[in-house]
Amino acid sequence: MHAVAVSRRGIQSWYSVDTADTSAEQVAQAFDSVLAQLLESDAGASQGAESVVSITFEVSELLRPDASSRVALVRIAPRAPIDAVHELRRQVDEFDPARIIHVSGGHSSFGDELVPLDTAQLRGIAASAPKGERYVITSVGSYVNTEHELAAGRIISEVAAPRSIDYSHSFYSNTVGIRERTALVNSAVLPGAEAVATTLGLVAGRRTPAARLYVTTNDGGCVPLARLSVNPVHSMYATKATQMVGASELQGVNTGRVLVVSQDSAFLGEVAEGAIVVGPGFRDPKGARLATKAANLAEYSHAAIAREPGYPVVISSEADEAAWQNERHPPRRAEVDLGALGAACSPLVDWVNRVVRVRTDEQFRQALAAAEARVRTRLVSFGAAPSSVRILESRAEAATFRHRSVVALRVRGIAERAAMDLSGVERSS
Amino acid sequence: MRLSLDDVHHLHAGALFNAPAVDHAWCAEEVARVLAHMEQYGEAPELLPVESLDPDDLVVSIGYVNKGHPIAELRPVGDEFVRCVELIEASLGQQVAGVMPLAAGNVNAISPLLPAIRLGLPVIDADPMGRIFPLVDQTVFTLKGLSVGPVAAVGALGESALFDVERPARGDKLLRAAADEFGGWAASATYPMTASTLAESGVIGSLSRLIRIGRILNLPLETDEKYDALRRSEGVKQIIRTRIGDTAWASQPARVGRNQRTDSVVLLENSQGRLVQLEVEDELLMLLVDGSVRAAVPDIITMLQPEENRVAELSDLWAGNSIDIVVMRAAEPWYTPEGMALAGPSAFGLLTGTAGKDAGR
Repeated sequence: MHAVAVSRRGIQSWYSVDTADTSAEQVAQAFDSVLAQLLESDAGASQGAESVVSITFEVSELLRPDASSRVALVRIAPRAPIDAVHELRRQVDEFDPARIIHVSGGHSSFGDELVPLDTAQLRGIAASAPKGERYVITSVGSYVNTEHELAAGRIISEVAAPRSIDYSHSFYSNTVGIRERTALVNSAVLPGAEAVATTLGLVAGRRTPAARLYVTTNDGGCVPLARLSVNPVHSMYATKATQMVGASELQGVNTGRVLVVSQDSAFLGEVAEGAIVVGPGFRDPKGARLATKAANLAEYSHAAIAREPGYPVVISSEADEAAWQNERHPPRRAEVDLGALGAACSPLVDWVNRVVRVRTDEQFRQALAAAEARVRTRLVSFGAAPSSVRILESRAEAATFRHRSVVALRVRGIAERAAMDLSGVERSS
Repeated sequence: MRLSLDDVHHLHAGALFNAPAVDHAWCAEEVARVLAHMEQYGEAPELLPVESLDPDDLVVSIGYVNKGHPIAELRPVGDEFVRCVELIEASLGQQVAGVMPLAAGNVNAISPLLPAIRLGLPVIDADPMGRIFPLVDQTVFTLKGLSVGPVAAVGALGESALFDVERPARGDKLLRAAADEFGGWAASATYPMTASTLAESGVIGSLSRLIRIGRILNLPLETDEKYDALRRSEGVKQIIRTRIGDTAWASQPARVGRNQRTDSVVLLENSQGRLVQLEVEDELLMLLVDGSVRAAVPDIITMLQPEENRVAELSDLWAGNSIDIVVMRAAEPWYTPEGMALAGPSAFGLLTGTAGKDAGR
């Protein structure tokens, strides 16, 4: 885990800890100790505490699935599959549901009800369900109309005393399996994420009550720490993206590619107009597609690098440099922790992905403008100055065999945070 | 021959190669269902040449027709195609002896496998397109003046329809309307015909071609070695290798009479700064490099991701990715004047001036 504190005087504190076998409480205790030392050394505790304006955390390694509780998957669709083959259960892993409950319901791509939600069936199932289960609810068409998922959630809350409920509509995709998998992963890591967010928030709140708290995200940005308690899946794969942000900052790359060599991998990333390029799809290490925005990083391959000379190679401080002495791409060793630097430099980020029904180009432009306004508003609410907000992408997403008046919008906004003094970091000109 | 698990994997790769633009998740889920059935029940689909049937045997094409939710959102429950075939049999008073795919690409190349197992029928090694075109009437059967009907359609809600229709263009309209009302797609059975008619009119050997292509794609070779093998085997030509520096998408309103918007994606190629433009309407219709047409329908334009050694999809057209764009010749009937009129560039509103007359040849 990394934690980076930024003060009004530009002083930054880098805190990194190996969290492979560490609980949230232990990390928080260690962080508390480091923060106390920082504040005491910074011209007195009181003044130091007031001067810290933000702390950014990179917590990917802390987000581990909860093995102590079962998850029940509620699939809402017009009809149940006729056999197990058509149920399309993935191979068993730690995110796989203990059981699948099929309930009639679902909406069309216009949001019209295809069949009514079978509330009586769901109440009957929920009444006999074990208490304290985690639930994930998916419904056909919920990326357009959330009504059936939310109604099912209300029934389960009333009847089944669940531990938690995750909804597939919290994650954007027009493929129900991708939303479902994302919600299952999110549900599994949520208990741990809540503990991390709460303990870190308490420590920081006690020591630096005025500081804004952020957590890095898979897309090379950051969001308020409170989001970690809702959608931790968006911070599960932030390590490489954050390192890439740090490497591009170190190299002063505004547009172009960077190869990062870390202790256990080497990967290429693309920077455009000062921000990491984010692709439309993401696969987790098991190859499953997830509905999370993630930096478009490619594993290093010799063929690729041989064909495409001319981009900087940054070796992280803990990686072996010897294998990367290459005339075409002379490597540069980072003297600072790339992850920590990346956390400090990551911009605030927000997305709108939604499906809209438009019949004219004018309606399309209006829908895009509304989405951009929403992104700007949220970024300002995160603490960004309105003048710092940039809309990096605003467009329709590609799709085939869709309804001709249905368009998927994708809007991405970022905001550079308050000016950070990186003078202590050796950078390229 | 009975298809092995490996054959299905090869068919999967070949089906994506032939039609890369459709969301690969659709095909992946269909393949997962087929493999799960084969592993769970020990039953394998049988792929037979059309000559193995009696001349009067009845063959029907089956496949998904979309308008709305994709099949990866509104998933099939498993009885849809079986019921389509039963509806055709009831309508014609004759047992179906074999099924073929509606199109030789993506999910529709896979869709006959499970129904064939359940019905105890062979999958016939032929299809109406030899690739994927957006419309049900863009078939070599239309070129021959054959009837599309009777047409059967079953949706994910269990609803069904039987259309007494002959003109393929009307068949597409009716199926598309049914797909919309069914929630997003219709499982369909179309173009019922005798085995002898199919042998004279269809694109023959299209599934075994996809398996052949997939076998090469799945070999543990470098991408360039695979191109060599595909060039020798199928006449595949590599047009351009691009490291995408930037992309821009333009989505245009659907033209009157068309189901879809035509999208245009422009890629800025990194190494030489060339502009690569792809025109997309459900499939890749045309490729331009620095404004010059390099390939157009009915040629099959496809994409590979050379670093990951796999077929690329639309979502790979993104800054930072490498893409190879390659071209393969389609079935010969598409290069006749009638074929070009039905499925050449002008059929999609592209190159309607003189410059496009020879595109795709």
